[in-house]
Amino acid sequence: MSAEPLLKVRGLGVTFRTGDRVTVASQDVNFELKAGQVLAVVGESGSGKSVSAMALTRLLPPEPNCVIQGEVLLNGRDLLKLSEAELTQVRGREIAYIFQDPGTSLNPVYSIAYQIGEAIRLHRPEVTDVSAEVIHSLEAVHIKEPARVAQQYPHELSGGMQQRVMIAMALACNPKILVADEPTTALDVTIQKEIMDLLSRLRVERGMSIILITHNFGIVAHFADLVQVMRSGHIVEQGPAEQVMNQPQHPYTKGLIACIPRLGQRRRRLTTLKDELKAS
Amino acid sequence: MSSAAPLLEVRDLSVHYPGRAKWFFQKPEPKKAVANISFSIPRGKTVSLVGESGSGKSTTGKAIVRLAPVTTGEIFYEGVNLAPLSTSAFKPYRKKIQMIFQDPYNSLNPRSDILGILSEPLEIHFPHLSAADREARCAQLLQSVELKPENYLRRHPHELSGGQRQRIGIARALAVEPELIICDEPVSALDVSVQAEVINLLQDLQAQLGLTYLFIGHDLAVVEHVSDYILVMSKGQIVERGTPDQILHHPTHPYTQTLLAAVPKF
Repeated sequence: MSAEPLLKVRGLGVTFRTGDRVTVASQDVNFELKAGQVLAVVGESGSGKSVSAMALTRLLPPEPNCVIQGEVLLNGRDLLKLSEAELTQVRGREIAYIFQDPGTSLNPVYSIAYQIGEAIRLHRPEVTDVSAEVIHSLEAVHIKEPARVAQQYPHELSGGMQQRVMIAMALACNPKILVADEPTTALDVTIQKEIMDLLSRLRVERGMSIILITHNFGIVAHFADLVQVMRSGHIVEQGPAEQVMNQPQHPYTKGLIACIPRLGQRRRRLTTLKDELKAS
Repeated sequence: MSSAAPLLEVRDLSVHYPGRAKWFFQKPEPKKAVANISFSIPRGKTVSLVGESGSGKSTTGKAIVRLAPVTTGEIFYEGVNLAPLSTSAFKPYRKKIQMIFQDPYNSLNPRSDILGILSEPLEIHFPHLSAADREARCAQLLQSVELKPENYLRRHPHELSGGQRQRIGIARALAVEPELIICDEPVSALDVSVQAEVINLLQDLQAQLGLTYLFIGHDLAVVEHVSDYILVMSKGQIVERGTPDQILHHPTHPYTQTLLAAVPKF
């Protein structure tokens, strides 16, 4: 792990302006990610974790409504200084995203084959046989009948299958970094396990880095190398996953870990964040 | 289970939805969402239905409050079979059985303020209340779900967070003083921290008001925490039933073992 980090983020901050109101969504975010590493960003809704991830490739409203500060260095190149046209080459090609709700991320009026094909045609013009590449990408996410699924429309697929298609689409362009924004929150636990297993397998096969955004510490444990805990726009704690999970320093981190019900440990009441923060 | 007569007893319940025929001359094949299930819920207890999406657990809950059609079977509430009752004869049971939904965003009327949302069931089931009495009752309901009435009565659902909206959903269910509440994945759409608060609230209310819950969920860790008795559903059937201890430590059905393995452990 002596390699130069793939992604270096320094002093990243996002500020929204609406009328005369200024909202600081995230502030002073710093981290480094090496190739093949998984960074988990944990926090409640509204803590700024998604906004920070979107800011990496400026997937946010233009200035002056939204101001992004800091540096995002991908292999030494500052993404925030690139033009819109150059950024389009980075989005999808080098940093790809999958979102929480696969149902609304897919276009309902186009077939799966068309939508994955679109990404391939845009980012990999050298590919001549696009439909074979589509089938190949569906096989990569362990879809059993890729040829049949490719001809289907999003509404014909279950939530778990839709999320697989989103992952297939994101991976079709061989990105270096995959940003997974709550990829399993909308799915039930058995499907959640399948998707997380799939992501860890793909990470090993492709040596891809993953930024996993979640509010649930439960799925971080066996998956992440690094953990970053965010609260109201700030990073309150970060470090190697084992250290943060086993010896959390900040009361907010302790609270987030404590409030998850665990199998076989029945308690009269669940610990809430308020209890945990009051106790400290 | 307890020797006293159960509050709710479901016998051989089946729910079939009309299916679609592949060709126009074929007979449509009905979709069997729930197939011949039986269970009972003792008063004051929590019985849970757990299973993945599509297993028929929500349909079972909906069939009890007539949001889904009962194809065959009987639903006894305090010994009265609800299934054959006419709509008007069923009305008093709507007051006794209430439901809390998974998605607090879509289950509240966006055009109405919180006072309006909580008043509506009162107008139907307690028509003798004056407007002032209704408002007082709404304020009391908000207090019981730990929201300050003066801050919330005049607000609209879009101004609230997910957890606050779910509290309003619970307050609305409590408005008519129900005995049985069907909680259809009440915490699946919430953050882990808010999830813990809402579960604690549901348990506190059960202790205060002697409520009976039918809790529907897919996360065994949550279900194990809240239940007295667990029913595991798969493909429209109950494949395993038992106390949380039995289900957790001695699961016999392979499907239950899959569900247990899916819960993140750390």
